[in-house]
Amino acid sequence: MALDGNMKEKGGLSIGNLIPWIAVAALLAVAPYIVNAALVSFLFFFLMWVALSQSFNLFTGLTGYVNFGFVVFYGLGGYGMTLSLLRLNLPIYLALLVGGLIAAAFAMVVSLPVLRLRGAYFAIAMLSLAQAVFVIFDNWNFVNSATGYTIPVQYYNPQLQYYAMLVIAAATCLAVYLVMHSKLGLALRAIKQNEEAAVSLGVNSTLYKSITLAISGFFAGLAGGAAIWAITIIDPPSAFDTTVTLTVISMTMLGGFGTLLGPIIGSAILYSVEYYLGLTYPYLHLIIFGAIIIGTVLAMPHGIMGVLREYFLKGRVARATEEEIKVKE
Amino acid sequence: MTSRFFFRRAISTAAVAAIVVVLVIVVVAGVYIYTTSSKPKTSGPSVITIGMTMPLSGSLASDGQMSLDGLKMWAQDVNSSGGIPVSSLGKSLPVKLIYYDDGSNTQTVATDYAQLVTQGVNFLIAPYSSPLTLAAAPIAEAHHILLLSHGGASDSIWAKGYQYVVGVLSPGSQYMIPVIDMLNSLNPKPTNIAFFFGNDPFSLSVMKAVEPYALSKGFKIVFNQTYQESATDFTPQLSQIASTGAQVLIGGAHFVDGETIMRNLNSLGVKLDLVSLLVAPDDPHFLADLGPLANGVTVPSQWEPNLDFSKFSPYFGNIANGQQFYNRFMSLYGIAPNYEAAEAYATGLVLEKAIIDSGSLNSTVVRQQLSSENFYTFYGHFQIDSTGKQIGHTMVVAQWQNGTKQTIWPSSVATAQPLYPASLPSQPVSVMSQSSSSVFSQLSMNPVSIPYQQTASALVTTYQVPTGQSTKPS
Repeated sequence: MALDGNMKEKGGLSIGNLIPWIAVAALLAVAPYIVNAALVSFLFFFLMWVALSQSFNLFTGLTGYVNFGFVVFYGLGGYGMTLSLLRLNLPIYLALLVGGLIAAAFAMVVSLPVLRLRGAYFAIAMLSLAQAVFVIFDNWNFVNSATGYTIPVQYYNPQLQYYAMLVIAAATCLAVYLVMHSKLGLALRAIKQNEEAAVSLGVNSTLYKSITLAISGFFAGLAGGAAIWAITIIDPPSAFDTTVTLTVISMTMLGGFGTLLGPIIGSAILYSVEYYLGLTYPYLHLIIFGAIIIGTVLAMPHGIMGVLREYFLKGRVARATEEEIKVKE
Repeated sequence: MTSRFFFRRAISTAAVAAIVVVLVIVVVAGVYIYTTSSKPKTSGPSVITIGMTMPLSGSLASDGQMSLDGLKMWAQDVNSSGGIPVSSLGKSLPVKLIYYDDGSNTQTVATDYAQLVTQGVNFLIAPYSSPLTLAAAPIAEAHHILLLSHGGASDSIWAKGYQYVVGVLSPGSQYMIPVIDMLNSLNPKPTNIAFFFGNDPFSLSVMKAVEPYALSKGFKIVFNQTYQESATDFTPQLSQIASTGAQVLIGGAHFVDGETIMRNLNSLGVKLDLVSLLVAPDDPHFLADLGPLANGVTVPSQWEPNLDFSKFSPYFGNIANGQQFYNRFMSLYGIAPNYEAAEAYATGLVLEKAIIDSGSLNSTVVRQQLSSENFYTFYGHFQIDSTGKQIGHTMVVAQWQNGTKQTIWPSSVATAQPLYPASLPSQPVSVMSQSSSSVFSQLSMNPVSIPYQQTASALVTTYQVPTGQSTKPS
């Protein structure tokens, strides 16, 4: 499994590190004022994929447990937002928060039995769980069963939706950064490398994994809620679509598991390629897209960040050797 | 040494981040150039652009392709006859369809319709299916662009207060009503009905409307369940239905599940007097796949090739009748059209008529025009209520009889008597009443109309299995 990306991001919060992030954030913040509606919509869904793949990366990238039921957080966030908006008449931002909290609570509850499983067993358990939630929602009259809901047109506001998603994506990236540089991150790295050894050293592995899964669920739920706000329709097949999980895995894998930049780069590349192909080749886009994914996985098993790291590492070694030669001279 | 080391590490991280910035900018710029370059740059319009997505991949691909083919044929017909006359511009303009594949996915619909409106399309056509139409609607509404629905039947589409969404097809609530009317006319009349619908928005909206209607007509509902469309075996529920003493099974959802129900009924040896399913039996492949098992199965249909509305006035379009549409489509694509193709073509005709009558390419003006339109095409009647929902068009009931799909209801347009009980196909029962919906009763009462029953046999379309499709033995 190609999940062995080095989680330890280099560099602290220095000016040099922050400038590019601030530049990107500023560019995205002014985007709605300088680009057209199509591009706002494109950037909205790009940010959604960043938030989703980053929150996926938070759990799977750091612990090594592949969450094949990830879409359940997206769907629960969407339903949580929709129900609190339509049933409880909560303001939209509060409704989004409720969606995130419901997904987080669900993650916390299911993690207790499910996180005692490891490897393939965990993956299968999560996959089945997502499927079970889909079937329940598809038949549960409380959530309008298969018919689902539509968000009333008065809530439709592409610009507000865009800024909500921008904040969610930025918050998700920040959360991943903070977790990576915290005691929690350290414990997760220990769990990933050797869970038995970590447990024997006193790491409460189930608790740490549960907390991380809940944080991952919270941000995925927020992103799901904001996405449904923009799509305006939610029904079980679209809310619990396994394709979302697979897309998120592909994006994180392409960028590099367990890194901060990997999921962002993966989302940017895969989503823009998919978007462009979909518009240009109505019948061939899936074949081309599949070929690109196969090609990149074969060429870069550790993702783009893996390739970059190797390149910089080589450069550093080369420079170090040069200096050594100079000193000797 | 350490400070230098840290400096280098900071540089490398910054470089990686810089790559991200460049990447985002390149992507943004690339898409921006792509979107702006496809915008029409001329001062006056030289073409009428009509944007849409269709599910050309994913679960609804075959329906999406049928609809797209219908619309393409319309565009071809319009352009070969010199385009649509627009009086405010003093000239005729050709039409250009811009379509993308939405992959049967609501999220893709959302981004692609945003793309279409920024490309400056004049009008929008909805994707096939209710959920996808619902995902496209708010974007059309926000940009005040007319969105015509040809394949989104759920009644909820017109309950949202949208001003720019207009339906050309009969809504879901109307689908099974004529089937109940037909059953009610039989002598002896069946009493026990089993409802077995798919669990999806469209089928549920059909079921919600037919339940109270069947009860009001004195039928007894002996079984009432929904099923998961992806299921591959319905034998447990079907054997339960058999044990309830049901005479008639009404249900279904889409294509694959409809065929599975018929195969399961056969393997269980269940004999029902009549089966009426949504969508599936209308497709010519239903006969090709099931052979003799298709015999007697009925389907509520938006349109059948034997229907001829040419005697109604005002009649619009160069397609003289259903038969002509069938032949044209067959010769162009080598496959028989189902009602999805016909309703898509008719959607083009509706737009064409409203543009001609209003003389404008402005969506608000054309939408207003549609409110006052009341006319016929080869597809039937067009008239909408204040919400944009179709109220003029009427459904018919078709039935497979010895390899031919016959229209059996309303009796004024029927090409054959209902085959009932279908499991004993020797003696079709007599039809008692002639009660039917407005259009068709008008057809039989209209003094200028040709007595339909006399000409009906000449209009019967014998469905041939499309070339290249072998009839599988069942």
